[in-house]
Amino acid sequence: MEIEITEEQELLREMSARFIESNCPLVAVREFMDDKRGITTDYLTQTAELGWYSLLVSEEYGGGQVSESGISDAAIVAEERGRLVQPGAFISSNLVALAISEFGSEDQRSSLLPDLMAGASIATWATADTSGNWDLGAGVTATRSENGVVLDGTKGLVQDAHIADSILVTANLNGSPIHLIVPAASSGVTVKPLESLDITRRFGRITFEQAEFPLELALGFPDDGIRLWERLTDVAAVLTVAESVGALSYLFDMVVEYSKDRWAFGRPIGSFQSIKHTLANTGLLLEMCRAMSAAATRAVAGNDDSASEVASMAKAFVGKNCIEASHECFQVFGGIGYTWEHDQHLYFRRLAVDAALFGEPAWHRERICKIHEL
Amino acid sequence: MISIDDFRTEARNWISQNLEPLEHSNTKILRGVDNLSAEDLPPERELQRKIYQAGYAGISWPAEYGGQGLTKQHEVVFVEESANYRMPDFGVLTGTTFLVCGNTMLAHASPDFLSRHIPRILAGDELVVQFFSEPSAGSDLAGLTTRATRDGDDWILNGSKTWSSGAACADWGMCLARTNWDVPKHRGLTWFAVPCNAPGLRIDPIKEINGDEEFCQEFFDDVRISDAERIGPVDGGWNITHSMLVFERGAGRVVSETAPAGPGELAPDLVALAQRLGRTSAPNVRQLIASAHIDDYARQQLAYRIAGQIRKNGANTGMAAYGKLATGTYDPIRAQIALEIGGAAALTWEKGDRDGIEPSIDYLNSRVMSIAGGSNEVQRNGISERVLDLPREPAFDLDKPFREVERGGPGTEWSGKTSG
Ligand SMILES: Cc1cc2nc3c(=O)[nH]c(=O)nc-3n(C[C@H](O)[C@H](O)[C@H](O)COP(=O)(O)OP(=O)(O)OC[C@H]3O[C@@H](n4cnc5c(N)ncnc54)[C@H](O)[C@@H]3O)c2cc1C
Repeated sequence: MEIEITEEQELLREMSARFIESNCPLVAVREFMDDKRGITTDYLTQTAELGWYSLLVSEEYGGGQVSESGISDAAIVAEERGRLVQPGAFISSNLVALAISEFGSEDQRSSLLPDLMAGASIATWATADTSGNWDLGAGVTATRSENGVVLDGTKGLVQDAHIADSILVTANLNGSPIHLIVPAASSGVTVKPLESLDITRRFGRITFEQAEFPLELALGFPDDGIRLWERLTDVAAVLTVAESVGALSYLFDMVVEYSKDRWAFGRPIGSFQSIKHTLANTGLLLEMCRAMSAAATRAVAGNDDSASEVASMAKAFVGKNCIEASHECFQVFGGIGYTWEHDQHLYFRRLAVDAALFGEPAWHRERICKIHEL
Repeated sequence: MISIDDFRTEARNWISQNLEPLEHSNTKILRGVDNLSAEDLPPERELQRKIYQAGYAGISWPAEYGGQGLTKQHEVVFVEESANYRMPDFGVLTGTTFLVCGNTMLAHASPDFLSRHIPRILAGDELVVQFFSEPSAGSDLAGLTTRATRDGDDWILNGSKTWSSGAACADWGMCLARTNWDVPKHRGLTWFAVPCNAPGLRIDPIKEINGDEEFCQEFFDDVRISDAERIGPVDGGWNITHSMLVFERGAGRVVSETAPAGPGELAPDLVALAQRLGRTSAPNVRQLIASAHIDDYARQQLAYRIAGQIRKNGANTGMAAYGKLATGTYDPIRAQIALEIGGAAALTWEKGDRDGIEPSIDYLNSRVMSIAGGSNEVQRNGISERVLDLPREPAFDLDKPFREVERGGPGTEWSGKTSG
């Protein structure tokens, strides 16, 4: 079948959807846009109660899945979050939790995971550089010092950098990767909040200047740096794709309804063939994106040999085509779509940013060529 | 009924002892280069007969008509087990005979008709071509004008069919004709089976853009056929057409229920092309290769998704139309990518160089699926009305007797009026 959804997963979906609809519908998303932090403590603790930040943490360390695979559980939540363009760094903080659970030290697990899973602290992954290069360790170099490593350089596109308590930073140590989880409030670390095309979420830039950290803060060091990075990249792709698919599904339903209700020239605009064909094409893209999202979730959740490749295929396909689809939807809304008031732009913005986050389509295509040793 | 596992074991044994292993399982057949002609057919028919006699033809078709009366799952097993063996190749007639016409007949023809035709179809004695399109009716199939007139126990057919793929090699044609001109267009159509050697029927091959002569035009000049060859009720042909179109869009295809395997090799044809030209490190070439590979996989995943939906919710022309539209959309993109990677080498080649000719032939053939069997536009109409439930467009031909429908032609001007 498509992708097997268990009863427990269906329950997780329903509960997440219900929470979002009653606590954070689009009007509330708009209120968050004006909020200084962009998200409230209540939102974080309530969604933590739904289990949102425990899904990628092994049960051994207090995490909890509702199915055999926390990744497919998290994809379900990501899709629901996408539907109503939810605030917060759900994906990024889950990636950090996953990194700690799978690659962290006992000390990191016990000191960081409980608060993360409870929504009491926020973690984020700093991986791309300021130009949006997602290559391993881009933008920040690490040098060995007597007491550990010293980081220098700047990371961009870091979600919720302004409120993060800990930062997972991926740096370049003489050509190999090193990942460290560092407190945001460390000396030599400066966070600069930025404005963004996506106004429903916050991004920032993090600069490291002679920032020295003990090696105990590293994960998967020295042997597993690449494996950890591949793993995070794959899971990031699965969750971002699921989120985009959720967003596009909602936007598409919205525009199909609009085309039935809006009249011109004595008929609903949805009866004009050009509009019908535009929507049929968009529907095809959505169906293909759904199929690719399911494929990537299956492959990564099942630890398939081709997991990285399928994750990248889905990320490239969905990134490119969701942008195209969102433009088609915008076009059908006409002038109303260009107003602040109308919700379509929240999706138009979100989908463009999702396409770039954790690797734009071209980056993932190149990754696929490398996987095949072309 | 034999269990799936036992059936698999038996099939595997029989196949390994009786069929020829394929040397290159993925040798690509190039439409326009590897033409099938009538002379190629006898050994294929013989192979089909062998499979039929062993009890592996029509696995899910009813036993009283020569099928095996087993389930679709059994059929999937046989397809899986025989994947690396040489199976009968009737070119386009494989799909028209078994997938489209055979399945449609089974759903709608009389028991007498079925006992005469289905066993012969399964034995490879009757290959069936689709006589649907006409010179003046393609997308608007229900606007066709080939007429069938009752004459006692017979019908007399006059008119012309066209674009019939494989007609020159076929034995029978499944033909839609107008039997009533005084009712709206969808209500006056009837299906018949017509022998290709019927007196008065002329079949002329048409030369295609790839140089091949695969499709044909037919001229019906007082072709007489018995009422016993009618499929379904008189004037009730349109319902049958609906289910026929569902089969044509792949509903009867036997697809494995397990998820497709991993993405496989990286677009092998494109990588080979780039390697021949030493272009594998050019960033734009790498992007194009990966894009094609991703789109190929996305189409496969879409097919899998659609098959799942059809299993869950029943056959649905709308969902199947998504699959058809994907093919019609991505085939041309795929072919353009090969031309772009190949550059001059894809545009010119030494005589006889198969590798050289492939991108050009693929390019020429790349719009087949965006036109044949319901164009992209027709799929989009179907999707928008049947899946998205968008309002219909104004119609000019639905509410009046077909006789009164404007049909164009030299010197005619369009009134632009939706009714009366
Ligand atoms: C390789 C090949 C093999 C074929 N094999 C067979 C076969 O075996 N048997 C058979 O019977 N037929 C066959 N066909 C015919 C095929 O089904 C028709 O060509 C097809 O249905 C389109 O009809 P047409 O060519 O008359 O184009 P038209 O219907 O004239 O269409 C011309 C253009 O107008 C568009 N158009 C028409 N109506 C609408 C509408 N309502 N809304 C929007 N756009 C519209 C079409 O999409 C197309 O772009 C084959 C065709 C090809 C190319």
